[in-house]
Amino acid sequence: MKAEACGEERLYLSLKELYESLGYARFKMRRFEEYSLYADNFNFLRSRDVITFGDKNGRLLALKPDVTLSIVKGCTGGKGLKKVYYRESVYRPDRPGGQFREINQIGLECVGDVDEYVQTEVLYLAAESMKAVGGGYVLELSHTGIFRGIAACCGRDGLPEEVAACIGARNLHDMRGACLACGLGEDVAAKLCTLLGCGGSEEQKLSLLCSLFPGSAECAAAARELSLAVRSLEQGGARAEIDFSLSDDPAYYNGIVFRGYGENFPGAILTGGRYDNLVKKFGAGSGGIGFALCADAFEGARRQFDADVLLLYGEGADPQKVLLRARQIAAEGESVYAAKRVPEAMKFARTEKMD
Amino acid sequence: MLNIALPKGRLGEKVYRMLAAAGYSCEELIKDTRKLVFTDRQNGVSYFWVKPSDVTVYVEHGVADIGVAGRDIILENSADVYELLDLKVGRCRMCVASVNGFREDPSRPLRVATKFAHVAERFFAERNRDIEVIKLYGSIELAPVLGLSDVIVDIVETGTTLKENNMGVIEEIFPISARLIANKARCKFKREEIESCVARLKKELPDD
Repeated sequence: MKAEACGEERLYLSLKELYESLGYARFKMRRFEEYSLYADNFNFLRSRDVITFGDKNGRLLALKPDVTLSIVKGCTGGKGLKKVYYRESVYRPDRPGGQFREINQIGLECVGDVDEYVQTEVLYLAAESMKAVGGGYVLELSHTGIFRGIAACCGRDGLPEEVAACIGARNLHDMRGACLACGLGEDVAAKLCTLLGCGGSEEQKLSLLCSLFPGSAECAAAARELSLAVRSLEQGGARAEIDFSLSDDPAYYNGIVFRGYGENFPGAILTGGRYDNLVKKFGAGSGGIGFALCADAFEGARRQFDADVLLLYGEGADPQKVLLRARQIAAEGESVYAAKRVPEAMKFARTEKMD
Repeated sequence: MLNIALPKGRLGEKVYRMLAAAGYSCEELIKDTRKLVFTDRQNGVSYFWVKPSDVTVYVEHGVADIGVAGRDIILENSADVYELLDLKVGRCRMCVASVNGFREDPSRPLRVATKFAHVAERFFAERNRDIEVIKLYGSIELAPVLGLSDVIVDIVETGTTLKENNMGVIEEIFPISARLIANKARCKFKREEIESCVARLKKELPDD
């Protein structure tokens, strides 16, 4: 119950312990970077809107719109594998065309020699992070290789924007029109509708993918990787689901992609995936994988109680005894609010009176 | 319990009748009352009427699990929602229109009057055409007639209003109909309820 009363801070402390237990080190960074870092890597940013300002030397600086770029830049020339976690603010519009916001993130990144084990570990930590949030959760997975493979089957580098939009919105009714308008053909539209509309177990979904696009080595490789990921997550007790509509930015991600949904939140609160291209571009190794948990989401989640216990003491109560009892309650794992009278507009799970 | 946001007006009432026929009726909803939320526990449904342009907001924020919005609203708001069903009602077109005989001056930005600023910007950006958006909230057709704008980007249903004002459609941008939309997170946790609703509603769709 106490976790509810402490929100983001308590979550961070539990995640810090979790990440450090597997050898991740805290990565601290400045609030700003040279703007050129972002200008040179726009393809790896979620939004091209960046807040800039000049310093005394005429350098153009920017408030960080993204954490991963700074971490990868810091790993340039490094050897082996770097495992870091962070708790940082980023500054970018909350949605395309939206207002700038300060967004608080807790996350981790693995940069360098990322192998199957590292990927499995990061997925495990993503699931554990969702567990730490509390309530039910689903970790949704997909792979950028699926739609790259499907596009390659049609002789293209990528799927047209209109088709990708239909995939992301699970819009099956406009799929045929979008495919035909781009010259993709009825059969591709029908296969995409079958794939997006499929149910059943995760293995059944992957079998369907391979049977719909039997000639695609990329689809087959993606299916193998997803199968391994799902098995490993399920063995750890996580609720993992393959969702082919998860078609995150293919310019940024190049492998497995995932999102975490909590039952008390209206949207995805965790996003992550494999970003080898960015790591290679910076000469920081062969691969990268990580995720970010949007800590701001917890501000929006309404707490049921302001504290677990209202400790009501009388006029003549001994302050020492009141403090002692408050400390006892806290030591038992409940939060406590000691007051002489019931505070207005506050809610408590239970009340305890002291004369 | 499914929370459903319906757009106020004729379209919402039409879709409600489809939902009621699909087994999601709520007697109170159609009564003249000042209530804002209508719940029918037996049918496991809770409705609320909202301004049509706000439906995507209620659904995206998870206050409503599902809702009904026109494709115009979904595209204008760039709503991050699942679009589960074309309800095949409320059909019309998003068009570029102007006064008959309009000749475009390519040497200056095109002045576009519209309620749908994002739709207009995206459409003309794809054609690499510089535009000046004049945001209006009603009587859009008046703008080119009085010289406020060169063209309008607006919804055209029958085209009667355009005809009566000596105007015509220059180009269709996209067809519009009402769509059943769903919150992405709620789809993970209320999947069976939402899938069942979609399946039942499919049986109530009008013929093409």
